[in-house]
Amino acid sequence: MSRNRAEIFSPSFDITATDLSVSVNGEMLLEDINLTIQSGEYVAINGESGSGKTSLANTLIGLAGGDLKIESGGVKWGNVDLYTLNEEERTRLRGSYLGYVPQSHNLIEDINASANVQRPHLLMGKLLRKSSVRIAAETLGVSDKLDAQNTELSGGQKQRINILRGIVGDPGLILLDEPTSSQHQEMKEEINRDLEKLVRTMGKTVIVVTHEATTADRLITLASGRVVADNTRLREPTTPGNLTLW
Amino acid sequence: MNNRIGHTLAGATLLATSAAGLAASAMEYTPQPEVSSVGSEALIELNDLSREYGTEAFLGFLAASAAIYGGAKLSPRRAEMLKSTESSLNKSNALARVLPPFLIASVAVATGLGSEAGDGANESNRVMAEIMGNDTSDIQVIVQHENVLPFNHSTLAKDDAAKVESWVTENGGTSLVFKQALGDANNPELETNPSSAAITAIPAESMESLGLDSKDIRKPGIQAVVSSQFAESGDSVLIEGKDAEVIEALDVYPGLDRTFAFASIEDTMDSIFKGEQYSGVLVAGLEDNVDLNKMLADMGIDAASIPMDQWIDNYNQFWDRSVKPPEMQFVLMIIGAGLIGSSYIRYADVLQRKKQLAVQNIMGVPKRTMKTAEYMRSVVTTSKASLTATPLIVGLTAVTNSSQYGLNMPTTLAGLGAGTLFYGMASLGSTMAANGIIDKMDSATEVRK
Repeated sequence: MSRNRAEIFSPSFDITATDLSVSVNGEMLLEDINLTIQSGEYVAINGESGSGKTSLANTLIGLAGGDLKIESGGVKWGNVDLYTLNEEERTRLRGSYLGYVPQSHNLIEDINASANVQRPHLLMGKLLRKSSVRIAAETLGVSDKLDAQNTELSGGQKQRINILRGIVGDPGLILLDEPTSSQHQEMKEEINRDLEKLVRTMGKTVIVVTHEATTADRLITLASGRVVADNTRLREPTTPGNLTLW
Repeated sequence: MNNRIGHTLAGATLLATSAAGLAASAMEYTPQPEVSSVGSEALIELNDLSREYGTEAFLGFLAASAAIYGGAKLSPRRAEMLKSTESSLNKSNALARVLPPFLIASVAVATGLGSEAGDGANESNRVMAEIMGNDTSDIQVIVQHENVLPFNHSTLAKDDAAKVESWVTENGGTSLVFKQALGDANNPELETNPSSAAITAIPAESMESLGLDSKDIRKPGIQAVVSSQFAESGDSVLIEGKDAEVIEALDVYPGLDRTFAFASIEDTMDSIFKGEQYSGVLVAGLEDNVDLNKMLADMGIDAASIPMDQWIDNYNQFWDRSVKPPEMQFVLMIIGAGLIGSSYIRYADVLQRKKQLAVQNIMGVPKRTMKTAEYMRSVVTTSKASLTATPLIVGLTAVTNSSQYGLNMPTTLAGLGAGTLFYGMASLGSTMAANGIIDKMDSATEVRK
């Protein structure tokens, strides 16, 4: 496993889905998906509820194998065929290369924000650099909240800590699963603006699952488990407060 | 569905039958399966093993905890693994904190009862060995036959006993003739008296070895040495309905609901004990190669010589068989209840953290790491609980010792170890079950719930 990674991986890699069909309990969720997400791309996967966008994102990061079943095709990270690896190998691969931001924050109640950010990284044996955490926290506007207990944080602050936890640690790929869907409109805009600034600064591959307007460079739209649109645009220079939305 | 209805009907039928049985027998039903000797032996063995290897288990858990904490000091990852299992449920749930030490203490006390019953019952015999000035391993007992139990029927004619004593003296040994019986002792000053007395009679001269004044022993009437639980020096008591004066009270605890009574053969053979027979003779100080059974045969005495340790062990085994099987059943019931309780706590704990675990797993934390962390927590919790259980064991032992006369159970490392062993196994078992949740967790599905 480590030999494969050493041979095949650089910190930047393309993600390729080829003839990918996925089912849940015998019901097809995704059919004939063919796409490549290039290293450094900022991609949004869009679609109505039930269109299969989260299933696609989960399959792209190696989470199929449980309820999600691959019927045909496959997913590659660089030259590694994800689903030839076992579950633990895929988990370790994610630990090395993926930053993940779930829809709801799921922060642990009885430890502070900083400990919440660090826990998964420490459990993987990764020590976060304080400076990188501080810089990302400043960009997200929560640098003064790192010592706060979960109960002292507002909903928006919790979500920013959730994002911070997912993106620190220098991951090559960041997946944000509807990161602002539980926020009210004003907060969504604020968080999106800070997030945009952050991911542009980082220059990483970013996949955001959303059913809302997005500033991503490429928009993959799903309907009934199929890609119905895949549009890339030349990104205009953006500044906070002056974002072009799809 | 049909199957479920079938089970429901079967359950209802069983309940109805049991209820009808209870009603028909005036609200009492006694299940009467055959005695399983294999089951009894297994329970006795389990009791002995748990106390024999308990100390190692206790030390093992402590050492494992020390290693875990040591590893946590050296490795931030290990430290975080340990912290990661401290959920808010465990911090706030009083049951989760109280149950482990309480279970350990309960098992420690319960497993001690069986051993204490036999040990206590042999206290009178140890006092006789002390009077002889020998270790029990250096003494032979001449009794009616080799399977005789202390305080149970054994007769040795006075003449035969005299022949034995004479022979032993000629051969450079020492002897102590004794009469034993379980009887009744009553102290009018007590509201409740022990239900029986382990009565031993030895020659008045030998009683002086207990540090008693010869004049006190030889006063008219029965002069008795009793348990300090039963009476004080100077008290008047009844032994087998005969008036006796207490000349010494010793801290001797002769087993379940018993008191201890020593008196002189001279005072008791014609009053408490009737007849011309003793129970046996203790013999010590002979050459190793002396065959007492040959001596008995040569003299035509119908008796047997057995090592005193064997005689004591026979009595221990009697008590083992009487007390340990039901006691161990209760221990297993306690542990069963504890296993259910701790499994529920672990299960609820992991369930509460399941979403967080799923997020961590998606981020790259292997399930193996999570499961190892749960085992680490289990070991550390067991060790902490065993230390917390120590004062509880002292308290519960005191309560148990105060429940009836004759009990003087000590708090021992073996007891703490037995509790630690049983709870530790239950804890690791419940962790294994709770880890099944992590194994089966579909992180992608879990995180979207």
